[in-house]
Amino acid sequence: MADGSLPKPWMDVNEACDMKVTGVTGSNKPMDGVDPREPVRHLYVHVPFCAKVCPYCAFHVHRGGRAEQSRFVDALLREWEAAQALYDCAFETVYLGGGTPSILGAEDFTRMANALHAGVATGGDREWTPEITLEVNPATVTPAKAAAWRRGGVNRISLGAQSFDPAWLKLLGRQHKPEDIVESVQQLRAEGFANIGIDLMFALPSQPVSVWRDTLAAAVACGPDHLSAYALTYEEDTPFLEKLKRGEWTRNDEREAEMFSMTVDFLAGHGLYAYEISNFARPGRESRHNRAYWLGRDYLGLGPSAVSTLQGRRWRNAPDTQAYVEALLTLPGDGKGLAPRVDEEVVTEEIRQRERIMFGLRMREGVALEDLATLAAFGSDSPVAHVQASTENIVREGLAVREEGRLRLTPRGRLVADSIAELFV
Amino acid sequence: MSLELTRNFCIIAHVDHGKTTLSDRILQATGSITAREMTDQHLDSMDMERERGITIKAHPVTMQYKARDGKTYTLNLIDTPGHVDFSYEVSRSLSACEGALLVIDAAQGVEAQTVANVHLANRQNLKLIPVINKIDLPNADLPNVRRQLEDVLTIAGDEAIPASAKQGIGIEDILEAVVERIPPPPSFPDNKLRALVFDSLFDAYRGVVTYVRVFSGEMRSGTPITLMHSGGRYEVKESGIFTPKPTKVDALGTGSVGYFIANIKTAAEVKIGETITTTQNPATDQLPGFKEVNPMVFSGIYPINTADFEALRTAMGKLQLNDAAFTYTTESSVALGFGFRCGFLGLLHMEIVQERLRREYNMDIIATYPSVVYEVMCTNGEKLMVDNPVKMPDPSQIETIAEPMVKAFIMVPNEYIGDIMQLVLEKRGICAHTESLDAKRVLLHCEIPLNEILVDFNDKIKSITRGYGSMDYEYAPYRVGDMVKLDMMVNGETVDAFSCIVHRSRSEGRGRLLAAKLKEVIPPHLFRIAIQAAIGAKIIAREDVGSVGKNVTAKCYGGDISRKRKLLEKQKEGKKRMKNIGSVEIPQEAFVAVLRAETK
Repeated sequence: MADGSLPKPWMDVNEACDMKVTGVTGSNKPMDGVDPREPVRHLYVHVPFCAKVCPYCAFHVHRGGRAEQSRFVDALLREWEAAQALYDCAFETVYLGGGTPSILGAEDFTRMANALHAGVATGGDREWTPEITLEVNPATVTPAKAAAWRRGGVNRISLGAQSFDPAWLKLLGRQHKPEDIVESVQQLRAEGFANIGIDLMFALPSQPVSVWRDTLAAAVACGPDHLSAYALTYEEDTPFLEKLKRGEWTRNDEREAEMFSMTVDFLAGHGLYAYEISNFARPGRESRHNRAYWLGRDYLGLGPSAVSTLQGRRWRNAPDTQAYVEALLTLPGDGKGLAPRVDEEVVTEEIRQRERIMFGLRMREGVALEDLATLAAFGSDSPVAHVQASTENIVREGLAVREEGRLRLTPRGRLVADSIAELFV
Repeated sequence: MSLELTRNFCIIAHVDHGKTTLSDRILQATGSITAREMTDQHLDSMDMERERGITIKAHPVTMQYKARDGKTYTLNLIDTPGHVDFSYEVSRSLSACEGALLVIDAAQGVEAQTVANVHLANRQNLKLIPVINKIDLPNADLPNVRRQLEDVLTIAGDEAIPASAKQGIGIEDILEAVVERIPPPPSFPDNKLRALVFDSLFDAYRGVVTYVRVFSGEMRSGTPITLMHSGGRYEVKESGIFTPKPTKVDALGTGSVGYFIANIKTAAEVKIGETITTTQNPATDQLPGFKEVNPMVFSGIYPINTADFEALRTAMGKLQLNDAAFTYTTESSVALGFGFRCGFLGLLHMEIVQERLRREYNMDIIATYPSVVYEVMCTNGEKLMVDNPVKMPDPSQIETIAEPMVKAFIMVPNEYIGDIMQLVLEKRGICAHTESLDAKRVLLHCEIPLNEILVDFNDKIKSITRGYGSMDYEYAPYRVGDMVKLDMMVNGETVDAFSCIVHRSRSEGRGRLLAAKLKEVIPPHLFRIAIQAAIGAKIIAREDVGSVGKNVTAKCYGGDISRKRKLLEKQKEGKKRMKNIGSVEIPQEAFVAVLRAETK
């Protein structure tokens, strides 16, 4: 093109699949000041299939059988091929999420894993191995699949247990039973998975604290290396939010806070320390992939609804599996390997810095005071005096401590992490 | 023009007793306006005057009347403001006359304002002509009104002229009485120019139009004049009379009432009560009664949008061109930013100014709690006049604080006497004595601190008496009271906009009220917020704003980052217009809500 910028085939893609696309510039050109030679070190892959859609979930999911899943993998590999041509990839972490990536058959999974392997950082004198995480639904584990995952390089499992109480599992619309979780962990261990995390949800509608404690105890009994405990979020356009809005359910901040505090203490007593607000791990078993998000690093996202943040831009693939597959497989010109995008935005260094602070405050190590000062220097929204005053306030109120040049939230501060983050963004 | 054929008079009445209708009727009867020209209430030209049924600006009218004696008389009707806030202006308007029509509603009888008006008129030695208006009403009670005239006002009841301005009944009798009973203007032997300024109006094209009554000499175009009080010198460019339209005349002679235009730029240059004389061969003595008018009530006025500060200053400047009694100086408040300390003649004057700023100048403003002017005797012997609580010295330096009082006339139906006396007591007033008006009503003579009647006293009288009670007052000397400065503190920081001076017995109640209101409007923070009411170092009321609810947040992964950031940014945006009081952020709307609720 005359101006030297990259061609824009995605416009054709988007028009062809009739997507409502907002704010697309569609450029893959790095923003000024970004070194395009810096390799992409983190990959997220969204596998959108679920056997059943859970009533609290707002992630993009798609119902589809074997044939559709295969076509999806074909499309994903096309997108991956194109991405490899655009970016130097040296993934230190890969996260296969969804949806339910563990729903894929062994053959499709292996095809996908083998192809992605080309981007994983290898060799050198690294003392660590790349972290490759697979989200696993307890109802989907079979010995054959587990073997395929292992062969495909997966070395970390995030098991979507959610609860160990049959009644609450039912409420959440989950298809597995508590004993399935225990069995899954055993099978995965038997297959040689050394790093297994369990995901749980608390603050479920009217859930007594005691039920949550029992779930935590049952989870700990499985011997996980990592545990995520999320307070239920009532997402837009979910049946759960509808019930809340209709007043069928109510929230109780105080009880949620009590559950949260209890969780921190309980898990600490079992060797799982809180390295982020909702995440607990044995030392050395923290999720490196998630830390990359929170530290504000670049990452590539593949698959429908996946978000990428690369070289000063952030975009989201359109959350539409059918359009995604069509765009990548059936469009003229054999596609350019680009998925339809939505929500494209420029992520300036200032925005990046804000995000680092927002998410950094959620982590155990907190944020460098220097970074707060840098943010303040960016603009009038958070002038230096304001940042200083805010810092003084939360320290005085015992919500944070200043140590070794860093600002870290105290247990009380973590209960109001959002409000604290708001002071700085 | 012969003095013998000139009569200068005004009309005084309780609100709604029919003063304006009668004025219009008189204009019509003297052929000054035709029925066709007559819009209702001809003399009240400001919208607000019509809405409130009161006259703020006095307008003189010159009429020709052929009396039964066959002679044609020149009648000058000077309309007067109808509210105690403007009592000085009223007194000057009255002193421009030799007589007054005292209008009383035939059904309502003598009211509080009737009493106050008669007091004022008597002080000016005016000849009063009682007019019992609305005799066409079915519940008109002439004998009763006549008796009230005698008992309450010591005016002979048989002097009263029965009339109905609405029906045109008795108008000629009234005009005849004006001619017969009101004396002609006096004359001064030296015949040097002495003209009394009783009002002025600012005209954007012509400058200040000054209304005068010429007591002696004549005011002729081209004559150099001197304002005897201020010493200001001008030259008359134009003189004229109102017929009621302004009509140029060569000269205003002795006894006449009209206007003149000179090179006067603001109303403040030519004060009401001034005596005007010729620069050459001037009179040596001023006309009596001049007084500097000082504002009685002060309030801070702030632009809601801080960017409107200059626009507000401009608007106030324009208002002051026409309203010399309104004063303003810049002040700044921690809570409200930059604004103005404004002085008013009284509460009505304050409301009018605020309303005009809003309506005529489209200003979005917030006014702080009104304050009267306190006389503070300091321990070092110094006397301070304090119009702003912020300026009150430390209690340790204060010997005494005196507050302005009013002498109030409260007219009340018998069955509500107890409740009204209770109200007066609550307002720290005393009832000096009571007078029976008739079988149904009593007139209470009370003395009440001005600051107690500032906000809602009149409303309370109306509500207790179901609208049948009425109140008027005149200013009385200061009295020492146990006054204290009440401060509101948010986490230990004083919020200046809420400071006020109150009687010690009131301080706790007001402190509690403000604390409760602030608690409602201050959003939860990351920490508890103490709201305290304090007198000096002593805390007399306290409320706490609890801290923010827990927000135990859910997962935050790659896909959530932008959404999460934008959510926080949006929340933050919503708090942009907050004022920082120490570490507490208070939305400006909150101040507005609290202050509005208070002054309603």
